[in-house]
Amino acid sequence: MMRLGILNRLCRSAVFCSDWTVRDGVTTTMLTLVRNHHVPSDRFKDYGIPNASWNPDMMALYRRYMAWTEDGSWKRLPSYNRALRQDRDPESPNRLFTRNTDVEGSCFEYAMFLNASERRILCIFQPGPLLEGPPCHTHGGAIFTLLDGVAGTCAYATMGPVLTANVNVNFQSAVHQMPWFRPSEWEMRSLSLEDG
Amino acid sequence: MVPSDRFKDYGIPNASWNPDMMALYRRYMAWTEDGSWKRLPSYNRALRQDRDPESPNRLFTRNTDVEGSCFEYAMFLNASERRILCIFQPGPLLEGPPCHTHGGAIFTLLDGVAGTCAYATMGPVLTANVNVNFQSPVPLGSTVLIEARIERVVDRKIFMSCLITSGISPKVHVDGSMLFIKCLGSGPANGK
Repeated sequence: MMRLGILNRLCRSAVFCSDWTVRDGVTTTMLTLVRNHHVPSDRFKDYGIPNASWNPDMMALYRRYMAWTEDGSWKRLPSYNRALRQDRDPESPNRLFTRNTDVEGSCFEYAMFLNASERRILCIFQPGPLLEGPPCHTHGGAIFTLLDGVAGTCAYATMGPVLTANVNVNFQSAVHQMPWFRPSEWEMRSLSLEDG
Repeated sequence: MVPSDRFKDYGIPNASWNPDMMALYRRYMAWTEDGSWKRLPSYNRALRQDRDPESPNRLFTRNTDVEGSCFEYAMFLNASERRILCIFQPGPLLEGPPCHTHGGAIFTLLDGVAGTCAYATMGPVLTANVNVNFQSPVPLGSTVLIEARIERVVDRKIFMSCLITSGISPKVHVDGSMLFIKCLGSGPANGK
């Protein structure tokens, strides 16, 4: 059994905010797309693309990282609202936690970019008003959810199916004070592998 | 004081609660009869938001009125023992692993429960560190019991332990420890 050490590093742009989303459903979907390209795009909506709720800063970040994908080293990861295996149960009410609403801009708005050869992932994120914790700021649990999702996606895309076993998070005071509607960019990379 | 006719208390049973959740609720409501335990009311905005009634902001764990779809939970506090219990039933919109609860959703409520205990006994706090082991996934629609207690306080640091077990069996889903920091310049607060 492999144990992964994950380095979580928050890269903050001049304008930033916080928010986060589901891990396992996203990673399943992402891996299938990266490896097999079998996702029928007309059946499932890809949420990891801009919509009307994205503010100018979020759009600027998106354009910056889409430019990185032109040489093939980076890939924008599509994002669906259910694990693909749920396709077998189309009546299920289950929805991926970070994609559980179609009201644009209300909860998690994010897009991920993966560099598989460097084992790095970048995520741009814009939290909405339904993610409140401290007044007018993002809930710490919302921050963690996306943190966990991004780290898990990076691990899943480079190593295969994973489950979170342990999380040790230090919340610096600035994180809790991050106001929403201001996108942030997060970077994570796989740090070490240990046999256990 | 919160005018109860103006703000809805979400920490009480509704039609979506399953029988295990109702049984646990009745058990802990019985504990409140001698005054040592209190059921904490739960609102969908920070109280100071009362000044901005048009705001679209909603507390993350109370951001929907569709019963049973997301977080269904109720908290019980024992202030003298500095312990808190929370019964939790995750809904279908909290999915992570297929048919199980997203780890982030579990963490969210864990942080909220421990933070509420710290806040109610020590005053305003901020989360500084969380170290959590996910031992087994929580199925959607099941009932779990979240327990958190203050282990010790050193200056402004509040060290807490937490445990999530199945509501109806001793199976452990999550265990961990947390560190909260007391904010400066604040007195004790009532449970919210």
